[in-house]
Amino acid sequence: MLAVLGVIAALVPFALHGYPLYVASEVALYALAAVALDLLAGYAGLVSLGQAAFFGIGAYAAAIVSAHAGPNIALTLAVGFAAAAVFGAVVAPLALRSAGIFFLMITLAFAQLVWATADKWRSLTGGSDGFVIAKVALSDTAFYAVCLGLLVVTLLLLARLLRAPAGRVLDAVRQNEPRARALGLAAFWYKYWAFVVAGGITGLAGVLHAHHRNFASLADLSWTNSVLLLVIVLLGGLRSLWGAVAGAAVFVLLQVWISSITDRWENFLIGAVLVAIVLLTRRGLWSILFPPAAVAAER
Amino acid sequence: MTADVAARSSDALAVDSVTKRFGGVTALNAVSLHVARGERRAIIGPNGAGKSTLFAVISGSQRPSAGDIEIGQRRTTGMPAEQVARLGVARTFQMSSLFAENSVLENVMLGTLTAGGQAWNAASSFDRLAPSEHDGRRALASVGLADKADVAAAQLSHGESRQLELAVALAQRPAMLLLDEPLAGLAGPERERVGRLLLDLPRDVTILLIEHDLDFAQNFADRMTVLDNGEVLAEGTPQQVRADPVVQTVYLGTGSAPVRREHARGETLLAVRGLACGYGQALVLEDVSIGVSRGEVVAILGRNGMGKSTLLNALMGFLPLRSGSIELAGTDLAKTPALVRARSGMALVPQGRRMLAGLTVTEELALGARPGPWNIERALALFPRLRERARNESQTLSGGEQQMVAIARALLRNPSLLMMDEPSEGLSPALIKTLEAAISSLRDDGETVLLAEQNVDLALAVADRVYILERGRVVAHEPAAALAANRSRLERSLGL
Repeated sequence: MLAVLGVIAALVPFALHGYPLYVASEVALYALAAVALDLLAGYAGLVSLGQAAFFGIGAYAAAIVSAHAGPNIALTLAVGFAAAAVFGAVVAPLALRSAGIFFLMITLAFAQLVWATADKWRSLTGGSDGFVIAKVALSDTAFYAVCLGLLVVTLLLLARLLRAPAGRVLDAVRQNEPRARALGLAAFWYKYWAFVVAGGITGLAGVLHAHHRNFASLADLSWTNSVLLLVIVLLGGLRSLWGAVAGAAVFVLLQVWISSITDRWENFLIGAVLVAIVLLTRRGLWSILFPPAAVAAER
Repeated sequence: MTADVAARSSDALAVDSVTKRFGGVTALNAVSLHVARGERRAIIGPNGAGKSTLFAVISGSQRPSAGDIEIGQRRTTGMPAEQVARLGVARTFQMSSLFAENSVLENVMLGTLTAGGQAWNAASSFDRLAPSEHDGRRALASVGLADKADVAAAQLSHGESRQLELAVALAQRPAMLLLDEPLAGLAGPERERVGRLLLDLPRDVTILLIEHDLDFAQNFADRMTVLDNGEVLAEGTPQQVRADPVVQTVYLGTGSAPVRREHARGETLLAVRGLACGYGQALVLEDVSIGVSRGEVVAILGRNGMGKSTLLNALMGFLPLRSGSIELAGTDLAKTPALVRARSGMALVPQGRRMLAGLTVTEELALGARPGPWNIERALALFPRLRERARNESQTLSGGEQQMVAIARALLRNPSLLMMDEPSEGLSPALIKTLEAAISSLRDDGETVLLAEQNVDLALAVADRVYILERGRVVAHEPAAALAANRSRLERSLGL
C-alpha cells in the first residue's frame, strides 16, 4: 500500500504539469505541517491551536532571507526551520505549564501575538500588504521534488522516532503523565522536544508555502490557518502519520474541486463534506483503509 | 520526639516535620518518620488520615508545604517526581494507574527504562528495548501475568491491573518501594499470590506499605506507623501498635455486629433471566438468572474477573445485552439506555468511585439527588466524615472518603434498587464496620440492595441471599445464613 502511494507520488511530475502539479506541491507541503501537528496533538497529546505561528514564521523567514540574500531555497529552509524551532523552544516552557483546553488557548494566544507583531512591524513584514518574494530558480517539477523529499524524510524519521523508546515514552506521557514521572521519565522534556521539533517542521512547510505562492502574508499567521491544520489532522485520524498525509491530500483536493464548481458556496460545501467525513469515520480517514484491529496487529 | 527522629546514617528515608496543606485542609501535620535501610514499614490509619498524601510527598508528586525529606542521605524536598524515581524509589498507586492503550508487556518495559535508577533520556539508543523486554517478561512472570503479556492493559480485570501495577514497580528494580494498598480488591488465590510475592521481596529493598488488611500488615512489617488526621498517632512493632488502646478505638473500631432483624420479603423487584453479554468478541456472562425481592439484600460473590462488575454494569445499562431480560418491578428494561434505568429507580455505586472533576462534596451529592426519604442531612449523618469535607473538591478526597461520597450519592437518588460494586474496597476495618452497619440499616428500613463483593465477611453479615459467580455463570445460590454456617463449603465454591 505504502509502496503504491510512493510510486504514485513519484510519478506525479511526469504525468502532471501546470496547475495539477501546483496542487500536488500544495498537498505535500500541507501534509508536512499536518504530520508535525499529528506528532504534537496525536502522540504527545498536546492539541495546539497555534501552528500558524510556526507556519508564518517560516513563510516570513523565506521572504526576508530571499530579499536580503536572494531566493536560495536551501538557505531559506534552514533559516525557516531554525527560526520556528527557536520560537518553539522559547514559548514551550510557558505553554507546557498548561494542558488540554488551556494548552490550546495559550498556543492560540502566542500565535495571535506573532500575528499582531507582524501586522505592526511593517518595515520588516510589509504589514497587511504582504511580502512579495522573488521566484526561486527551480522548475515546478524540481520544487515538487523538494516538497515531496522533505515530506518523505520527515515521515521516515518520525516513524522511526515513534517506534523507538523515546517515542514510546512520549506516548506513555500522553496517557498517564504522573505514572510516567513515577517511572523516572522526565515528562516535561519529552513534551518540550516534541513541541520544538513539530515547530521546526511546520516552519519548513511555511517556507515551502511562501516560495510556492511567491508571497508571504498575514494570512499565513492567521488563526484560521491553525484551525485548517487541526482539521486536516482530525480528518486523517489522530496518531497516524500516514493519516495526516491522507487528510492533507483529501482536504486540498476537496478545496480545489469545490472551488472549481462554485465560488459562493465554497466554505459551506467544504464544511458539509467535513462534517459528513467526521461523522462517518470516527477515527479519521485512515481507519477506513486500515481498520483499527489491523493497525493493532501491525504494531 | 525530635530526639528519637534525629537522622541516623542507616536511614533509607527520613521525613522531618512534613506538613502538607491542600487549600484549607491539612492532610499532613508535622509528620516525622524514619525508616532504616532494608526495613519494612507498614503505614496504617483510617481513611483520610493522609497515608496516600505521605506517599505523594515522599515520591515528589506533591511538594510539602513545610518540612524536609531525605532519601538515602539526599535531601529530596521539592525534587520533581522523575528525579526521586531515579534515586531508586518506585511506587504503586492506590487506584490502578496504567498506560491503558499499551500492552501489559509494554507497561512493564516502560518501567525498566530507568531500572535501578539509571539515567534515561530521549537520546538513549534505539536498541534499548531488547534487554528491557527480557526484564519485563521476568517481572510479569513474578506476579503471575506472563500469559497476559500481549493483552492491552485496559482489558485487564481489576485484580490483574493491581498485579501489573506491582510488576511495573518491580521492573524499576527499586531500592525503596512505596506500596499503596497492593491487596485492595484482591481475593482468593490472587490475594494469596500477591501477598506471597510481597513477603518474598528481597530484604535489601526498603518497603513502605499502606494496607488495611491488618493481619497481613502485621505479618509483613518490621515496624508500623499509625496515621490519624494527618498526624503520627503511634509507632512501634506490630505487637506494640496492635496492643495500643488508642489505635484500637481510632482504627479498628469497636462495638458488636448489628442485630439482624428478620422481616417479611416483598414481591420480586428485579428479575434477570438468561442474561448474556460481553466485550467485543469475548462473552463474559452467560445465561445468568437472578432475582431480588423488595426489601432484600442480595450479594454476588466471586473472585476477580468472574464477571461481578460486568453483571452490575449490564444491569445498569452500560453494556448491551447479547440476550436475556431485565425486569424491574414488572417492566422490561433490557433494551433501554442507562438513563431510563436510572429514572426507573436503579442506582449503581461504581467500582473506582468516579468522582466528577471540579465539584465539591456537597455539589456532588446534590447533583443526582431526587426527593425521597434520603436527603443530604441523612446521608451526612451516615458518613459524618463527609460533613468535615463538605466544601472540598471531591477529587481531592482520599480513596476511602470518595467511596463514602459514591455511596451517599447513590442513596440520594432514593433508588428502588441500590447496586454496589465492591463498596468495601479500600476502606479501613473501622469503616467496613460502618459500611456494614449502614447496609444493615438500609435493609431494616426496607431498602433493596444488590451487592457485588469479594469481602465474604461483609457479604455474609449483611446479605439475605448469595449468588456465586464463576466464569460468568451462576454456580450456586443459597441463603446467606446457610453459607455462613458452612464456611468451608463456601470457600471451596469460591476457590479460596
